[in-house]
Amino acid sequence: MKLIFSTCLTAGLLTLTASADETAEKKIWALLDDPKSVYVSLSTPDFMSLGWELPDGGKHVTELALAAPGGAFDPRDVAKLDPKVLGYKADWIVERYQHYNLGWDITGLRLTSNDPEAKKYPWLVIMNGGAANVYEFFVDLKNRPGWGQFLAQKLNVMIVTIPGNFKYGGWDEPISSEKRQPAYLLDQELPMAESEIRNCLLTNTNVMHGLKQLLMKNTTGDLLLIGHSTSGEMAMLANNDPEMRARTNGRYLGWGSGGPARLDGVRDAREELAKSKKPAAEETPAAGRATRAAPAEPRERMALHLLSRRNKETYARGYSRWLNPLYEPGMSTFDIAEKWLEVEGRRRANFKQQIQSIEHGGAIDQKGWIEVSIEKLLKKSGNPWGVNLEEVSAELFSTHFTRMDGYQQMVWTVGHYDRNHWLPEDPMKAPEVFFANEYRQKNPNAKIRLIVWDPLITHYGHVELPKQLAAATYSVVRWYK
Amino acid sequence: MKRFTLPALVTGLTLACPLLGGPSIPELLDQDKPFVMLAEADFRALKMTLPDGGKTVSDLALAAPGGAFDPRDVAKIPAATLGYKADWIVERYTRYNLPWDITGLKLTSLDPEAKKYPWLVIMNGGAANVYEFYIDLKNRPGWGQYLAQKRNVLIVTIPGNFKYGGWEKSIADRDPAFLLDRELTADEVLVYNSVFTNRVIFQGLKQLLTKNTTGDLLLIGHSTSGELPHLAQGDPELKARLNGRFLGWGSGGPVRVKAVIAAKHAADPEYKAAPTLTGGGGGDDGGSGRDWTKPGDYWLNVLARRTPAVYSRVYSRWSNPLYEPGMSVLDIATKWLEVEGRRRANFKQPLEDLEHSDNFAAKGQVEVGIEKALKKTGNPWGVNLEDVQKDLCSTSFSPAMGFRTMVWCVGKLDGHWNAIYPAQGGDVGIAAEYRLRNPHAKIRVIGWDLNVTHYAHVEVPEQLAAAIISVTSWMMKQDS
Repeated sequence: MKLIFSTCLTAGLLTLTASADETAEKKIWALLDDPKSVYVSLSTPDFMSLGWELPDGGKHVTELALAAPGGAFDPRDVAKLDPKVLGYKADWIVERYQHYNLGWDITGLRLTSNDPEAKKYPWLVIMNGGAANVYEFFVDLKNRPGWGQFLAQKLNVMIVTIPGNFKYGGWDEPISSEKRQPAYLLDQELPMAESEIRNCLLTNTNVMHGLKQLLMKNTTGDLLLIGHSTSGEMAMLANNDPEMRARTNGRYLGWGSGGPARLDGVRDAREELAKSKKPAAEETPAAGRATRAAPAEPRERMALHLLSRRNKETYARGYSRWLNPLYEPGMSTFDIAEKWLEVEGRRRANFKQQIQSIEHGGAIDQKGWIEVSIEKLLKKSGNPWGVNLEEVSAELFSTHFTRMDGYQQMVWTVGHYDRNHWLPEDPMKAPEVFFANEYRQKNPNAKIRLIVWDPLITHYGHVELPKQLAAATYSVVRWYK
Repeated sequence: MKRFTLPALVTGLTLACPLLGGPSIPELLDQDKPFVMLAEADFRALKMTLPDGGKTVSDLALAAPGGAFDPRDVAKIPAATLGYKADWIVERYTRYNLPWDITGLKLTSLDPEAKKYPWLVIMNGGAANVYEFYIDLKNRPGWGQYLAQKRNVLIVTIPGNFKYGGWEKSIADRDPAFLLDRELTADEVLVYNSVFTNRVIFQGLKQLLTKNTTGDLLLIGHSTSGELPHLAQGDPELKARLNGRFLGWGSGGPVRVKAVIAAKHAADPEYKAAPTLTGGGGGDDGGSGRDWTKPGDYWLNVLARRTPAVYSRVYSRWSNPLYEPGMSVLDIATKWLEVEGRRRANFKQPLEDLEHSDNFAAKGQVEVGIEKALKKTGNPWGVNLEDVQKDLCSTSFSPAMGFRTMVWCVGKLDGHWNAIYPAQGGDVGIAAEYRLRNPHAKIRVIGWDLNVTHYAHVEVPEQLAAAIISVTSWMMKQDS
């Protein structure tokens, strides 16, 4: 009797969940079908109704993570787990590639869904932003199932970590320590002089080179590239590459992604023009600029090889809010940030190369300074690697030359409280509105949408509500033709 | 006694002259120094002759209103009269879905030795054109005519800057002649000016050279066109024909290298810009203080137009053919723009200036400016802004390696030189950067130690031609 009841209950719950998902999905589709709205929003109840369970409830991966110091489990161990238990087949891929005469390792956690329908959809490629890595997109801050695990129940997923940001076993050194350096090669520790020069050479074109190799060798068919945060540039740069462009097939999907740095200059120019035409009294705050929640990028001229390191103060600004898994009643946002960097202190990189930030921003006037900085480091070290500054120079600021045409369907998804990308108090001035509108201009026949998830999720919604976000993202993917 | 003394003195002076002169150009270039200078006496002693003394071409020019003779008529003059065979070439090409015309006056020397040397390709700076490099301001023989006695020469006019018969409209009102067979509409002018990138020019230049010359090349980009040889270094086909050589005349360096130098200066707390004779600044308007978008939405269509005030700053000095005793530099400049008011373009597109100065940060402004122009006109040509934006600021990415022999030639009063502190002159600093990147190359900067300006090719064309011939001989000897 108990068994029958339990089975009925499970079946009933699954039916209810499926039904709720279908209802919410139809709402998402209806919202996305709206060609006129600059942006649309999915209500909190609808968003919260979304989601499905995992075959094992996520237990096996969680156990792996909990057993590893600092949660820095070995992704190769995930690949040993039975796909039936996970709902997908996991593979850990390390691609070594050459750029600037140096070897670089880029990694991918490939999750090939057990769902036979998955192959009807593009590979969903998630790329971490500057300071994160694979863990954040696979498990949450408490090692419970993460966004990628949920997504992989329905879609084929590749979680990419950009070179340097993943290290087997994580980092022993504290975040603030200069000794904590990116792991550009996974099979060896690098001398400091080499780390320093590599920190300057992690251009977006370099990362793109690795990403392309990873995807070309390990996936087939169409691609949907989700570049989170700083890696938002990757999806846009792919549009410049004929082979990648053929596989993105006119589609774009953003999650906390923004637009290419190229548009920073365009935005400034539009503001300047608008300002010149208005009397001073009518001037309004700049469109397309939100109150940045991101860690403030170094404005002072810090040496190029030094890393921008994450700290509690910056993470308390807009990244740490009340849906964070670590939040407990009574905690301040500072408390959440502190706890976050504590629990993620080992496995998460928590640093970012300045070159990444500079190329993702509008400071293209710094090209000369970058060249001089690299030249000095090469001279100081004797350049035993044979790095050719000419090759680096030719690739600097590729982010300012991304093609914006050729799209058929684009969807930006954004959390209501993502202060880097959304401005709930004045949505028409939100960065994502600006970016989507710019692409609308360049692609007048494309379906270009911007959808806001209405719960108070931040730029890190994928660790706050991974289950619901996965289902919402899946519905968006299914909306594409 | 008196009769004896004078011939003896003359003989003595004649004999002494070579001894009194300084090192020759090859001797100077053999010295691996940051810069060398050719003494005024030695420069002035350089001589060349033309078969007809330049009379035939001068007659053509004097007969044409404003001196704007038809270069096709030069091609009809017997080669034996000129010392070279002249051909006028118009190459039409397409970029951004728009047709463009680029022209070349090709002077194939009758000297059989000429084919042993690279083609000398002279490219005008922003506001000039072919005339300036072929005849002087009084329609006397110009630099190109002298050069062509010994070298094969191609004088290139960048698109827009040449017009058959010249411009009847005043400098303030005229438009570039991007197509030579018809007038452009106002909308076309707006869009052409707005998308006039260095990439546009370079494509035309490449077509012109590839179709009309063979063998090695020496690209002399004067002034703003100083960017073009460096862009060529980034093009595999042209790079092969440059063969590791660079020859500059009032050329400076690519904006990429200028940005590096600026960054080094900014990082050096001890650095202080050296004073110059003129307080710095030439006639170009690419300075960092320029408010590019001040003219409004269509600022890319607001050309920098030459005025006496601008040309008197550093361009008009006492070697100018129009100078007469008692004239102020403003008088010279006024006269210059008067006599060259018809055949010389005397305008420059803002985009040319912007890409030639360290204004990479203005890329967004340029994009918006082009967008506005296309929107206003309705863009019936199908110009794709995406194609244009990827070309912008190409000058910030010029390669700086792969050179074997580089020589910058500079006049003492040129803004590229510093007559007070020569070691801190602009071209000296640029050459130093190339030395860093090409440690095995022979890299030289040679100054002409007399009062000639950025426009010495109209001031002392004969001597400058002889000097350049000597420089190219030295360059070629470095291969052997």
